Amino acid sequence: MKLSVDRITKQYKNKIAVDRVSFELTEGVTGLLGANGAGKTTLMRMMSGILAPTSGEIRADGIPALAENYRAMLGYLPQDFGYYPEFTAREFVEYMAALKGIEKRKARRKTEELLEMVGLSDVAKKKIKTFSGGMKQRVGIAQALLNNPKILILDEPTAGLDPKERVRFRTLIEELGKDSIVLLSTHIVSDIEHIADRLIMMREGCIVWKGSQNEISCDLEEFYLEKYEDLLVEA
Amino acid sequence: MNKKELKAMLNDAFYAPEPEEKQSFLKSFPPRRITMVEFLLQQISYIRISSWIVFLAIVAVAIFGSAFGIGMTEDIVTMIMPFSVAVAMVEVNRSRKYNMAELEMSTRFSLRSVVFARMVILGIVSIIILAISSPVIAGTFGGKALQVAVRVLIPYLITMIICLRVERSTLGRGNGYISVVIAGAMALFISCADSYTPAIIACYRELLADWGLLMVIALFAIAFYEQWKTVKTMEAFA
Repeated sequence: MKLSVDRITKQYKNKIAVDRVSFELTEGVTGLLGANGAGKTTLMRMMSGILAPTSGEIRADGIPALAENYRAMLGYLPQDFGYYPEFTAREFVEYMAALKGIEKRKARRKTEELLEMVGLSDVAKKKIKTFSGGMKQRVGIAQALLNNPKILILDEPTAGLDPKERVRFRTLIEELGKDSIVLLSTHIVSDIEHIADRLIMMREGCIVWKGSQNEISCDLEEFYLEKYEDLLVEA
Repeated sequence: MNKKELKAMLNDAFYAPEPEEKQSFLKSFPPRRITMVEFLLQQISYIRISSWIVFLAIVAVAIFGSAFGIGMTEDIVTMIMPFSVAVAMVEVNRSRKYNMAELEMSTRFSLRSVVFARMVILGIVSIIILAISSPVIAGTFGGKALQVAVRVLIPYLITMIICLRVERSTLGRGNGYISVVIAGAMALFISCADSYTPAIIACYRELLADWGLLMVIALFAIAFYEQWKTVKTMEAFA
């Protein structure tokens, strides 16, 4: 599968959040690095088909991002998401399964499987409002994986996770990247250092560097800071 | 050596190879997806009990009011029907209120489908309520069921149109329960109109007798247009 982002731009009145960004992704994990306000979330929202770009287009094997078929193969975890207060973890995941068009019996089986995977099967009957930030994030990860997504877009997925959960999550992402296109945004270099095959670095709505991790000879954190310093000097 | 032992020995001697690219293979089969009708039926279970209670209360008022011969039954039903609009609006706007919109937009049946499904379900329920209440009231207090339906429907549809317009505005987006306030204002107007503006009400009743059905059709058309606009605004985030 090939996911192509072609000269995508998003403009809000006089502010350009994403400026003519182009790249192509295939199966594997791609890390999207950038400071807060770099345009990562806007780009990911457009790639998830929930935000229409001002110009440019996003297609997965020719299917446009705003099409139902595209969303059918998408798993998305927003940076900040809510939940209906009456929902338990199980009900939440089952509800999302219904929206993903998964039939009830399969949804139940998949929900149990995923809650087990994210370590929440013991609290599946508890209301999400009683959960900690990390537990809520794990529920979010579970819902993103419901439809065995071919494209998985994760916006700051490790936020709120404790160190142990982070390690477990990285292993999971690495595994998922074998068969799916995984795009993971973060501003923490260590989150993607060992799992991302490719990297995209963003600043002020533009890509400042993209390539394979193998192309980076020094420490990733140093390289990342170097790229930003270069830009600051140019500015 | 019997067959069982032979089987065990074979199992020990030969190992099944590890499946290669199992996940890719499984993913190549498209799962059975639910249809739009199945989706609508599923959405029924996600409408809160409190909403169903309001709808049931309207039917109960119509039936018990008629059974006990309470003269104001039709007025009471007319006054509380706008609250069913408020309930529907609260249901429709829950995604935004609880920050679920972004997640719901990224799924196969996106937020637009969710809003559309909830509107369809609650619209059908309102029609069922009207189909039950109108003949019951007309049967008890005289008149035609269609006339009762027209009298109940007009404030209901006006409330719906106002609520849909306001909910799309900045005022509506900032106030989760603005529809309840609108429905309350409509109910208050209905209850006071007879006493404070008798001339206008008399004129309205005359108009209803001749043009009631046409007014309902026109209001239905406007309400559909407003609903379409509401669903349309759900197409893009931010």
